[in-house]
Amino acid sequence: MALDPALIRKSYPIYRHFAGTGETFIYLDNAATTQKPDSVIDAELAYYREFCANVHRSPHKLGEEATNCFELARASIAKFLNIDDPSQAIFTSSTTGSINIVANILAGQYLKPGDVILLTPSEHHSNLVPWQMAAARSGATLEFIDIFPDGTFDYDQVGRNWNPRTKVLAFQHASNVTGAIHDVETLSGLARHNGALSVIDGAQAVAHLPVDLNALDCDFYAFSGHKCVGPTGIGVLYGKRELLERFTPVFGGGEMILRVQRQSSTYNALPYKFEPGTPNIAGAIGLGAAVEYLMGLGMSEIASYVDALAEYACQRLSKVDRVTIAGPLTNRTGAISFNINGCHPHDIASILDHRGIAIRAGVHCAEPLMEALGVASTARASFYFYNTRDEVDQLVSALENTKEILGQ
Amino acid sequence: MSLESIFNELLIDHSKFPRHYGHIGNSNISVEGNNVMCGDQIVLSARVVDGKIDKIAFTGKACAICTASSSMFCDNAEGQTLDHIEHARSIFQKYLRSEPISDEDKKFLGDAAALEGVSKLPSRVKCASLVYEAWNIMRKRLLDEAPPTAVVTTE
Ligand SMILES: Cc1ncc(COP(=O)(O)O)c(C=O)c1O
Repeated sequence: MALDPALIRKSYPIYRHFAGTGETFIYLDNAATTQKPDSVIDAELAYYREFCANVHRSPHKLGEEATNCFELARASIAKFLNIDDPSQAIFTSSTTGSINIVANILAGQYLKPGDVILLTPSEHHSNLVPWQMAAARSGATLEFIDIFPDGTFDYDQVGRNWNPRTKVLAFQHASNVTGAIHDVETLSGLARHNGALSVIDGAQAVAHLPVDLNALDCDFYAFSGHKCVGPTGIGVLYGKRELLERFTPVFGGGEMILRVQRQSSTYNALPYKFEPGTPNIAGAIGLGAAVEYLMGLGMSEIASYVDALAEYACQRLSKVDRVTIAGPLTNRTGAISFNINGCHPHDIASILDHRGIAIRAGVHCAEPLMEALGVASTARASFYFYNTRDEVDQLVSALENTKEILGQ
Repeated sequence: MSLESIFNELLIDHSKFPRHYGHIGNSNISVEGNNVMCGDQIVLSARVVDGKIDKIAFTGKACAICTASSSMFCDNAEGQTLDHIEHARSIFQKYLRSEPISDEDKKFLGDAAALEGVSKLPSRVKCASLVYEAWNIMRKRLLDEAPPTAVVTTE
């Protein structure tokens, strides 16, 4: 069934709040973070109010309930991403946290001097800087896939140009700047075929399309809760079982061990081996509620709603005089980066903000991509399933007004 | 404050037709200002003769607020002593913090007084301040108080 944003907004406290104050609230910064529905906020609150206890250690009823909800959240996430075994879903702080764990593990236990880490130039800094650090530590080097001006690239060419020393292929499932969605199945297949590991940054993709990790068959996959209606400070690292078992953890502490002696320890089973210390329990429970909420709406329904809205927005924006869109027109998420010739993105964002329209401007944590696109920065409107065509229209007319104010 | 008064005519005029934009022959000092997150980048250069700014100019790619502020600053600074310009900087800082300033001080700012509305856009104060921060380092270098390679940011 098609999604109804008017109905959806009823379960978002922030939309109720602004409906009450009567202030214009057009939130088009969903690629930075999404708004949260009641069910997510309530789940976090319930933990703190009704069963606040530590997990996996406290031998009392509250401890049992907290542990139970924490593990149910993990099971929901496994269902959401079609992961066979929930113990392959490790709770972390975020996408950034997840990628740093993988990069650290691979730098210390896998990469050798002269090995190559292959990336796209579109990576968010969180899927670039950890690899720069891993390269510096291991003696590996970074190489980059050539991209077209809209941020897409030619998969066949990646295969043809494959450097046999490539040991890691790390890339984003979807770009936070261009919105381009990349073919994880093809690329991780290419990596596997050539004996390299694939590491996928799913931060933008998980919110927007059905992700089936079984089918994608990549080695590692990372995402953040807050970009898919979940809380901040919680994320997930998925890994193939044999890899998670083969590598030793990079952080030690409580919970991740079975036995500790003075000189050495034996590590716990998955997923606890990679979850040292007290985790973000409320966040994990909130994320469980978030993915249940998304499954309730239906990821295919979300994808088709946002696709249609993004297509409409691209159409309308491309008809605005002097606007250029930096990204593909199809096979994209709701993140639309654009520039208006003669208007700086920050000026555009300030003026829109004054009109109650929240967008982002700048380099979007992707400096090398700006260089590849040949721009200093972009303005970015990013849509989600609670946004409407009417909001696209208001954005377009506010942009016309922006040009006037800036004397263009 | 309305958008039209924040992005007023004088601001837009300085941003579209920046004064003192370009390079100056035999400049003897330059400082780069770089706000990476938003993509504002300017280079401020000057020719200093006998403790006075004989010529000053800037180049770069920046937003309307940063460009206009740089243009207004240079307009005000040319021909002045380091102390005079430093005084303008301290007034401007107060101005952007929405602290009250006297009419006399406002006059001292020249065209830069048209940037009052920027104080109503907290996330943009750094744009208007970039040229002043570049100037601050330039002054310190002239007084041997800062190392020669400094690149400044207001982020
Ligand atoms: C594509 C992409 N990767 C990684 C991240 C980092 O996410 P987080 O800041 O939640 O770790 C983001 C978020 O900005 C993103 O858009």
